[in-house]
Amino acid sequence: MHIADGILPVATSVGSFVVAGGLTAFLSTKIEKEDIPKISVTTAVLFVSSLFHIKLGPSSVHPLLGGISLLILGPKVFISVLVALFFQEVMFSHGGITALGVNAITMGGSALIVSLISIPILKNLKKPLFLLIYYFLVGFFALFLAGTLTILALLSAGSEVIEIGKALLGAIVPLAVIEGVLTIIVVQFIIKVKPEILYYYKKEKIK
Amino acid sequence: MKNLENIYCDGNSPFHRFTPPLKIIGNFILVFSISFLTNPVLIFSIMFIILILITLSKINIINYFKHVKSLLYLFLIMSFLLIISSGGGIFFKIELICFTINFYKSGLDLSILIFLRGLCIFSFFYLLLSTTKITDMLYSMVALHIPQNIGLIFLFTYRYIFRYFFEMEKMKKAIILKGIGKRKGKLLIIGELYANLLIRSYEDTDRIYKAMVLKGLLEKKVKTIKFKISSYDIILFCLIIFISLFYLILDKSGIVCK
Repeated sequence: MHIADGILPVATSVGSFVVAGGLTAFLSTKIEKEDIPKISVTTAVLFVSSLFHIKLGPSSVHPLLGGISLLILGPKVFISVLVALFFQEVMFSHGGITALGVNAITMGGSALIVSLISIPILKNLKKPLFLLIYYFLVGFFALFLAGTLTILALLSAGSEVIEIGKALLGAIVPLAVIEGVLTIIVVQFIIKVKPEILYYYKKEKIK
Repeated sequence: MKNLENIYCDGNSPFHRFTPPLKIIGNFILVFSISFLTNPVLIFSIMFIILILITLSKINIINYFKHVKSLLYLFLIMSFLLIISSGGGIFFKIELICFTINFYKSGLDLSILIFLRGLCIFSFFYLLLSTTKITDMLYSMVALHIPQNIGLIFLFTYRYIFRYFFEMEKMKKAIILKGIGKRKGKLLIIGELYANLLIRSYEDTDRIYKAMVLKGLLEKKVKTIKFKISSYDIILFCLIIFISLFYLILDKSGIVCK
């Protein structure tokens, strides 16, 4: 879902840089010095995980891990995604530098929105089945929303690219399902071994 | 699986000697001016300039074309979808039993424009990355006053990418050797691999924080590399602005036929 260079109009690119830059500047004021190592290592893991592909029919995809990252970092996931996207572009030419702002908003922004909505809900969930559904939905919507925002960004390039958007829409749902399942597996493992990694973890509450 | 390779090539070309902060800003100016261009002939001419610069910088041109090849697949798929769906005048038709596939000229024009722009922008950044070390780029970002916290995150992330890449490789080999792949589902193995890596990375955070304290990285203003700007850098930077404006004016004036 990375948008490459040259596709988007200049207004979209520049506008997205301004929005992404503003959001980054705002979130950077909320980062404590103790958060820097956690965000850095989570970003490094996010980046490394994107190098390993999962076979999906004739093709292969790499997981976004947006759901897992937001459960670990909370709203600061936006910065993590921005940094990971930068390194993906710089090291592998995956995505575009002029589209970095748009990619950050679609992928990081979607994770940020899901974190702001989902983390407060978690306080009210106690039953294991509801928690499983919750983790699945976090992973699912982190990717689904990213895909939807990518399609909206592509529409700004004109009505000619609408078919690309439609093709992308068809591909998002199976990917989002895989993402949801991965989120459940990863979070369940983390809860068993080291629950304090998770953003919402409180020492008196063991789930 | 991709290898983590650094595309930086050591050298002493004009671009190598250009100071990184001005190089990054110059690159962005050039790239955004290319995004404004609507004449494919002009964009094609810029490609010649880029190839000359790549040759002058003594960058491995075979590596460059390998990276371009990976871009081509994405552009081919996108171009095909654009050409068959954009609407307007038809230049070619394929009639099948149940339906007809129309190839539209406006889609072809748009896909050529997008492809040339994307290729130019990618090539300029390839030139930037091949002539600038990643650590210099990251220090330049701090010198260009991005928030210090963000600069530190970039630097630490770069530091740990390689470590966790090799960690992941080791864990994958261990899974294969232990035959776990035959006992568990693939998605379960992948999920547990990621979880393992996240837990191991978290265990590093305490150590990293203490190292930050000892190295004085918690001070209000962290000392980083100071980049000197010489008259050579200013001349090159002005040249980049001149070229960007020249092409923009040429494009808007319509002197060059499309």
